[in-house]
Amino acid sequence: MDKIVRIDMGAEGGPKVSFEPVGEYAGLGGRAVTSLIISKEVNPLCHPLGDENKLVIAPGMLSGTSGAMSGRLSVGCKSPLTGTIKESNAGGQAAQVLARIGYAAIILEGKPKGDDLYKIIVTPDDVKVEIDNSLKMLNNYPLIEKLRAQYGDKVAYMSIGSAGERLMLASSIACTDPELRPTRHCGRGGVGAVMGSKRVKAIILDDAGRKQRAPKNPDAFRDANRIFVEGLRKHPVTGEGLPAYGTNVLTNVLNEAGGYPTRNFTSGVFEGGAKLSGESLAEMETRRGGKATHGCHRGCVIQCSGIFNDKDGNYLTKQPEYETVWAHGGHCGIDDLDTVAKLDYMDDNFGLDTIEMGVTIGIAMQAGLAEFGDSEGAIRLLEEVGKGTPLGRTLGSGAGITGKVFGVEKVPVVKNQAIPAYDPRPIQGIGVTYATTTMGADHTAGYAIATNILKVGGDVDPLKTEGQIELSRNLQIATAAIDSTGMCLFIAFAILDQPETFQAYIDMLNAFYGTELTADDVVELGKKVLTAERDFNKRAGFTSADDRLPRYFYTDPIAPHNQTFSMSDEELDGVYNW
Amino acid sequence: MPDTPSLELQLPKDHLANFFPLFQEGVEVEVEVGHTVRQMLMEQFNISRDYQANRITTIFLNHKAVDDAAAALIEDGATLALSGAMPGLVGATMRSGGHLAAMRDGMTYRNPEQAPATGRGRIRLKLFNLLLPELAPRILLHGILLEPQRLRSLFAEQPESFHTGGRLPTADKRLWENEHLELRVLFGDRNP
Ligand code: SF4
Repeated sequence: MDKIVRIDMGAEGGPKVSFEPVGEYAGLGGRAVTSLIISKEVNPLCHPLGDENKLVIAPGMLSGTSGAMSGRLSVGCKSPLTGTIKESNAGGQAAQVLARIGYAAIILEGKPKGDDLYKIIVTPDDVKVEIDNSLKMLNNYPLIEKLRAQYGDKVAYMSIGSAGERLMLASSIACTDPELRPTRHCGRGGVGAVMGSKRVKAIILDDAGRKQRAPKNPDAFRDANRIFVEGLRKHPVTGEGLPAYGTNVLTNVLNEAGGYPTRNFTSGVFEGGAKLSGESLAEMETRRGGKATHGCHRGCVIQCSGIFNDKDGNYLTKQPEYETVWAHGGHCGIDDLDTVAKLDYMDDNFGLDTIEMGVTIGIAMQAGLAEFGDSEGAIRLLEEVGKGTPLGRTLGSGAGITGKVFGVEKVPVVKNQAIPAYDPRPIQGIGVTYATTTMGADHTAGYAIATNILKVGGDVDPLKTEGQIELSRNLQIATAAIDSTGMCLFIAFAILDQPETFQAYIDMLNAFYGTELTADDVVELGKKVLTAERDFNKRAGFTSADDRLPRYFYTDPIAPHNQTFSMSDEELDGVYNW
Repeated sequence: MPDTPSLELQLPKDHLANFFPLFQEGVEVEVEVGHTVRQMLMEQFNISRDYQANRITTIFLNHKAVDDAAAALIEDGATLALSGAMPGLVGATMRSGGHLAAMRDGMTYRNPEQAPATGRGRIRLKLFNLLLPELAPRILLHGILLEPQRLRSLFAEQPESFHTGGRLPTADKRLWENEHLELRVLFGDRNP
């Protein structure tokens, strides 16, 4: 990963490819690369779909190695949904293959003038940009089928569906999984529309002839990786809970906690929760001949994913994540997993963020376009998005815009991005993160939970009132750091409880790069990334007034705890004081 | 439960999972109330202190997260939900006594000022995720109280193989006309 490839899609005479050394980004990966490049090179005041915006695609620091869990791919740009900087990441095979080819980043810049649609073929020898108008308006599943016929099964594909081509603000970039299905999405923030604005329909990554990246110190790397994997396997979350039930194991618990936003955040408990639970989903998948345990990329030892078959035992979609099941399920008052799975498939096929679309459908239900609980109605609304009708384009613009178009007063968005599956009133700490993250409402921004080991910001007394601010700050720093290494965030649970697993993680990085990173260095990396992101947003015009939850979270209590969000503005403004 | 009609079934072990939906929604159990969660689980269900500490890492009492099972008191009519360790930030936040407990301070369980009365009582018990296969057998052995309709629905949803292990005595009117029936299930490979 010693090179960056830059593709100027708007160059005179057609797209121009150039190569440059990795330079100041050497030894970095994932979110560190995307956010530092965007922050440095993109005018924060640019239109996100204009020629000044860039789309940066970066594998993780250990992607393409034999290291476990190292296959997350980050995509960064100025977000058309939020107007902020954006990093969105996904599993799938793309990061591993791109890293083995040898690129630390692909930067797409400029914008072609005409209406032609392009595909980019990246191999170890070359990067080709070709016009292929036969791909126009294909959705992800048929698109990948067509590309496979030409490029085969030994490559990884990144693509946009019709939503990205139509520049919808909820559109995603799909990455294929080990079975070559377009099921892993850089979902949040409308990154698909940025790729669409550059008229790039697909990127084909072919690492033929390339081996795994070699560590500087192979023995130490192998040993550290072994300890790391052992740590993941022995921890109850990463070794048992996630493999058995996936992230949807959270449904029952959130529902029991009264923190499961139901029917557009009007209650914290959904009476149909048990029917949507990870436990029910895993049982259904196994009974129908699917899989309750499956990795989104090779090298994943946790395997939190699965395969969902329909009633006849035929593949329908991958195992929907907790947030997807919530957005299309409880948020819409729907308690039927078959409906949720179908909506998940449609999202993947059209190329849409499942959280944004699910929340949007709930807003449409609030507006009276369908009843809460109406499965057919939800499918019908999403079909409109696939067809690109005026209604579909409105819905595909996300919850914020849909709420405005239909005059819905209470719309759960921060910086115009839909709040995900955890109500911030009973769980105030996550509300702090939703409000203040650089990305718009995002549950993963403060997801990593290794702060007690990283000791970011020193030890926190959880009993003090400021504990929640401190924790949110520390979580955001730790997440930025883990995102920058390109590891799946789910490693965080083993790291939290097992210091030797955390040490093995640092040892892997050091053995690979021949460095002597400490936990402090990892924290500093997290801070550096957040500082750059925050600075970008400030230059884009964002102020502390944008770091707030919608007003109704402060005024409308939610059952069963009857709480409102009570963090003061001053407290929220203190999150970035370091 | 002297006035509650009871039904005892013996089923093959591979039918255990058929009862999981009941436990996710919650079943009523009769226990000694007025004691701590830890004590109740140890004394009523023989769940060891070690198991509780290592496996039951997320506990809700009346929808509130419990940080100290050795202090939280169970009263008659309470709802108790038990779960293994959860992923995600919020999962970690809910963990008993976890580092992130401050993030859900407003929904943390606190004992009422007046200690609940001790004696026999009924609570609603829920089991989630990894604890389902591990704890459901001993709860079913202890006996659960069910509305007859829930038991009928459960049986109606099962494949024929399930019924060979335990047919419902549908003719026993007393069983079906009461508000609740007590169900005890023994799991083993011997047919009844
Ligand atoms: S744990 Fe889940 S999300 Fe993470 S790499 Fe594995 S399958 Fe993908």
